Amino acid sequence: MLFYTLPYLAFFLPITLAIFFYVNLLKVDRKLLLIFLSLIFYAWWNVYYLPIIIFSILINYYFYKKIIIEKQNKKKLLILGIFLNILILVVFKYTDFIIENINTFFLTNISYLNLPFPLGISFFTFQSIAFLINVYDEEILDVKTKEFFLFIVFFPQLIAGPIVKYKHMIPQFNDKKNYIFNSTNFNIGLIVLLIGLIKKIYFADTLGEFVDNGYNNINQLNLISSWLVSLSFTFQFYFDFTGYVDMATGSALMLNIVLPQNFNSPFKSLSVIDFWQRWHITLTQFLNNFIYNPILRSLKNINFFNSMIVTIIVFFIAGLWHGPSWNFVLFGLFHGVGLVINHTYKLFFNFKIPKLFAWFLTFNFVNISFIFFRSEEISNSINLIEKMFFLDEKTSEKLSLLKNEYLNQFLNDNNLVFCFILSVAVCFFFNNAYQLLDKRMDNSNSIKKNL
Amino acid sequence: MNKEKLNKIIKIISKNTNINEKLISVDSCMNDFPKWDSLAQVRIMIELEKKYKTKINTSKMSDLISVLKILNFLDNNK
Repeated sequence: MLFYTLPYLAFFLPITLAIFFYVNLLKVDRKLLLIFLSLIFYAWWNVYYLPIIIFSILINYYFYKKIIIEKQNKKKLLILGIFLNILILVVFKYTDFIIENINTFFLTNISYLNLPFPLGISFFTFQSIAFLINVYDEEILDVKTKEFFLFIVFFPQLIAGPIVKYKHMIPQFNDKKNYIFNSTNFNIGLIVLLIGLIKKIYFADTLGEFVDNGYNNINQLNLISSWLVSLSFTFQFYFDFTGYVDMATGSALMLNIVLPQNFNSPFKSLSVIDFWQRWHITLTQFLNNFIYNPILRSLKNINFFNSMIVTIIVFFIAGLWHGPSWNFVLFGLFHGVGLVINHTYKLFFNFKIPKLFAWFLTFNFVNISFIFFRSEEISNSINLIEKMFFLDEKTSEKLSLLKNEYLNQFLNDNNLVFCFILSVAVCFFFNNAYQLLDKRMDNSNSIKKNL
Repeated sequence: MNKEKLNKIIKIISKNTNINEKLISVDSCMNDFPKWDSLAQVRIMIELEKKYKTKINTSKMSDLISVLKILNFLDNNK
């Protein structure tokens, strides 16, 4: 089930809220109730995904039990647990990608397996790995089966994050005060949900149609229309992703559960480092805590050069995590290299550059990187970049910049032009949803601190 | 507040970041200094582990991003 669909908004969410807050009349355990409802939410899309997520949960709970009692082979169990999580992810998400590459490089003809691709598998795999590492580090000691189950399947964060921490979520599920309807949380949650809904169905979907057309006909774009297409996708991607996360945050808040902030006006970033502290924040934290730090501290020489190599490795993994395609890998590597350049500048040159110029460089870097994210083929990405930088145009075409079908399509669609201008304003000049709420909430409200 | 411990922490941060000791105080945090980056953070944490014979988990490393937080952590993990 998706947050912006009628079944969710008109039936699932209202029914869930009503049952959750008034179930005390039936004396049903609220955690079990949330697990049951979350499984319905998950199975709505495809019931065949259900055994996969349940299997993953049971495997991870088994490893929790083993790690917690084991003294000598703790590390081996942790490694095995992480390996199994990655194996499940690879089998369901990357098998056909691996087969495709084997066929290409070894000229074989292995058939694709076309295995189901369970929703949210990338998110719950990372969450489970983080959980096992926290158990190994003895940061998590006492875990009840239903609490772990709920931690993984809690429907607002199940499909597209944010990646939540066990220690952040469970105290909230256990707090009896959260079982009582809270009108402030409900109202704020509803506002955040509506903000997310507008981002998704107005901004992302309006821009999406133009983006799809442009990416399907890259050869027919010229300099101006290629920039419009790439910028439109950058805004579409932002509104789509943050819209979904806002709807997740709003839905959870209506249930008195606070999810961590995942975006903080990323297009206002003044450097690539700054961008990753504002974009998909919970993923950045995961990468830093569970990949960057452990790899770096395991090295004999912890120096600048090695840390930059580790950065590239981390962003290679991050790129691949986004999807089974070399385009995603290139997206990750592009950012990895960007971060290396940014760190090198910071450490060795660090001369002042005007803020406007820093923002301009960063935003364009991000915009170009998103071309790799959106294109289905690497050749398409390169083709579009060539169009954007005049590398592909004949002299006669250079002189007729305003004569282009896609540019006309854009300019003749008032709604699209308005949406594009509004997107620029929202991304570059407006406060984000969290800042808006921050201003309106009472200082004493604990939700504000968490948001 | 343990002044001696504070000075030792400041020394370790200074050594691993090349920031002048005089510029670091109990209120300083990672965001105050561009030189106190993720690489320096890992080095600081490893040196703190050796010096105070404690274990700092990889996820904890990202939390200990201010002098005060480090001080509190070491006080609570004697």
